[in-house]
Amino acid sequence: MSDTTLQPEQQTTNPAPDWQAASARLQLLRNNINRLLIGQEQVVDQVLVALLASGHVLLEGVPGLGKTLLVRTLANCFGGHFRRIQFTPDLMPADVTGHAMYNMGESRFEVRRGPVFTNLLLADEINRAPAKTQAALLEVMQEKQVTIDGQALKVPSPFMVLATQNPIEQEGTYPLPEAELDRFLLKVLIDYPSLDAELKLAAAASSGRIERGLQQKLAGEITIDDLQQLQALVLQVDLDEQVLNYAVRLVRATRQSPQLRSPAGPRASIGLLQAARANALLHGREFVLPDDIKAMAIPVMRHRIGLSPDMEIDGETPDSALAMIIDSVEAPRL
Amino acid sequence: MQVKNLAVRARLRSPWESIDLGIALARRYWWQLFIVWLLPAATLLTLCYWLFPESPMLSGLFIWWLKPVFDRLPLFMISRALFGSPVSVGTALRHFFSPNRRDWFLWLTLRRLSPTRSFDMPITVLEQSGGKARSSRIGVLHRKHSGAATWLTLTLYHIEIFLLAALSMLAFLFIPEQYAEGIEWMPLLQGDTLWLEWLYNALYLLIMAAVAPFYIVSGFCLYIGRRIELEGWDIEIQFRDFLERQQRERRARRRETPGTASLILLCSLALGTMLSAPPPANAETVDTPQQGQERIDEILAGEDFHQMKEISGWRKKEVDEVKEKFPQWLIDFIEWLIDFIEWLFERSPEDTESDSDFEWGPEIAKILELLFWLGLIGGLGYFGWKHREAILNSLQWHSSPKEQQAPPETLFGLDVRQSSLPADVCAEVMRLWASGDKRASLGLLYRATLSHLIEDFAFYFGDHLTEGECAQLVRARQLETEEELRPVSPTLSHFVQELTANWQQLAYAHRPPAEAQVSTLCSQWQEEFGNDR
Repeated sequence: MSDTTLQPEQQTTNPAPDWQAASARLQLLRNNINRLLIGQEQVVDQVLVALLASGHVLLEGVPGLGKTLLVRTLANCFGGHFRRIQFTPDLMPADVTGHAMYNMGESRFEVRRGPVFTNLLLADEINRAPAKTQAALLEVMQEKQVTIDGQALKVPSPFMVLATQNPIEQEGTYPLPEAELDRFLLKVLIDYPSLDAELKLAAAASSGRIERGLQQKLAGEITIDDLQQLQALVLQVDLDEQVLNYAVRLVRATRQSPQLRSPAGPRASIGLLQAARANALLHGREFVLPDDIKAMAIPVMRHRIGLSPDMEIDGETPDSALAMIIDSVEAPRL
Repeated sequence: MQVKNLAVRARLRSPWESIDLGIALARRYWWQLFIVWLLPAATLLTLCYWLFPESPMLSGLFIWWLKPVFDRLPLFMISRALFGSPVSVGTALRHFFSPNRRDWFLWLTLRRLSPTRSFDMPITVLEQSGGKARSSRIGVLHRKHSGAATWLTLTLYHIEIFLLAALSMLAFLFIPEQYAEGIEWMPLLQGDTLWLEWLYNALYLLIMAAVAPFYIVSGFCLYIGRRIELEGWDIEIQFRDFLERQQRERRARRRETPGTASLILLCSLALGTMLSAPPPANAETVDTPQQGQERIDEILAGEDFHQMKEISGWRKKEVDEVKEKFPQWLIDFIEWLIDFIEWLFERSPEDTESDSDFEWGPEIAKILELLFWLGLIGGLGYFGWKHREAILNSLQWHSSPKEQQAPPETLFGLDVRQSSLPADVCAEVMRLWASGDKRASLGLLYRATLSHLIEDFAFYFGDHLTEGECAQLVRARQLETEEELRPVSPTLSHFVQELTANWQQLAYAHRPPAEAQVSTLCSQWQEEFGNDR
């Protein structure tokens, strides 16, 4: 039992935030996206959590489930810039980040910025490119900057990478290195929509309503400044010491499980707390519940753990292994 | 060797699953096992090359013959890794002689060509059994997995040969065509070129070292799988977890209410005994341990334990042969069938005289029809017998009563028995609220609610469930009531949701509700549970 609440210091200096308005704005954003991306409410929620927590997302799903539409809709909803890179085996790091080029007319080098200089970057089929090109994203994902010709260039804020990978086609792919995987806040699985959702989706897409929705300005669209304010607000969400303790215990439980080859590291604890705070804000709360931690535990950790050989033989997935681990950890007590 | 430290999940596996697991583990530890197998063998081969440069074939055979010696170190390493105390390559190499002390002579002579070597080796190296103990152990272990172990040996031996042939072909393919044509094959095939034979030895050594980890670890996993099956490690691990959980709860309880700790232990022991023991024999009840001991002594002194019989001379082993007797109805049926067939073919003297008039077609059709019906009845009978359990279950599942679980006494680290609650919960809640201890006040109300939900409504709230999930379970029961469980009314469900929301606000946001809200909750509580006490 603890009365300690971990709150950031700036809360004491800043005026009290308007949680109601923030919640209403987020609901509007969520509804706008759900109106265009039909039947993927959970995916939308998780992507919004990552956006609010200033994290990156690894999307996994078979082609044709609306991954690109999701990113376009997201960019459209907050008025941000959106770019897409199709990763291929011959893609070079400079194609991603940019490069310095000699301008013969002016007799000087000039920097040509790559597609990473945007707000939302869709790295499509990221595992098709070799490790060298994948690693080009490491710096920009962690430091939010790119070094070209010794010069560090900041990418616009907010910056978010949404990388996709196909779970079925493994031929000719390069699995993402663990260091890079660890930099994704969440790994989101996109599954087929339900029957009702698919009926609505098919009707909307075939009548061109979705495409029109993308072209026109949405009512109540939030600006980049609004989004940055919301991101700042996430840091002010209250976190009780018991909840903090629960999050860390969950992550540490993966290190005691003999069923895992590689457990989650401290970055998972940090990511879990960030995601839980954002999830609380998305659900209109100004404090984190153990339920937020539990809801975010699998998306935060599923790509950071490695299953042991016997679990793989038994057909277990990271999700099922994590579910077992979560069930073995006691929730916070009275 | 501590079973609780086992790095793989202890569960029953078929031999092929065990081999799969072995292959997967061998891939994971391949480098270490390859090195510890290769280094001693390569040292010995180098020594042979130095001492007997003229005898490459014998040297190769010598190394091959010593495989059981080289196999022991990887086995030692993988066994340590699997039981949670891995050793490095250097440490393992320093221990080269210690696993090789026992039974080395027998392994290099009588047992050298044993097809189940990798399966049997752990008995020598890890259990350190020998002589009769080993034989009886082998006898028990071999009852099931020896076939798979033999196939493992055969398969991997063939893989070694295929790899050797493939690598030789690969080397040959690298020889330019103009040189390949000029190669004189006869001296090479007759073994006149020493360097080539030494090269072959080195190549085969590498192949043996590469395949050995898969062979050793797969055999070891077969052995582990068999022991899990024989000794019930999976059950043992579950009991250990159960005991640990009980001890943890006991420690937590000791902090809360020391008096009830012994009760939990007693319950856990009773539960453990119930789970592990066979159905009760309903023996006479005794009041004290002394009386029990006297009764045991009395039984042991009885005639059943003092019968002596001397038998000498050779005789056939007495085996309890179960002579299957055909049931009378079957015999009757077959007799009837024989009579029927005889009747079918029975012909009158007139018929015998006029054979040309007899029509075979309808008779054969009758027999075929009979056979068809017999086949159908037999097939249905066989199907019913084979799936009898599933059919019985599907017929009985409605009527089988669900075992009532005893309600837990602790939850969320707190005593949730109704007897632990104050006589007047609401009065105590309001008293604590007035005294300023708001957390304790609302906590008591929440605990009292949980207590009633568990004992009156048979809810099961696991340790891992959060308050929100408990509230969801209540809501789910309200929406979909199971027949055998007490239904939850909408007002109770609403009350639980509201109380949970208020409790979460207080516990995690440190924002207590207004006093009026607490008194409303108290009156709602009184309405829901006030009459239960």
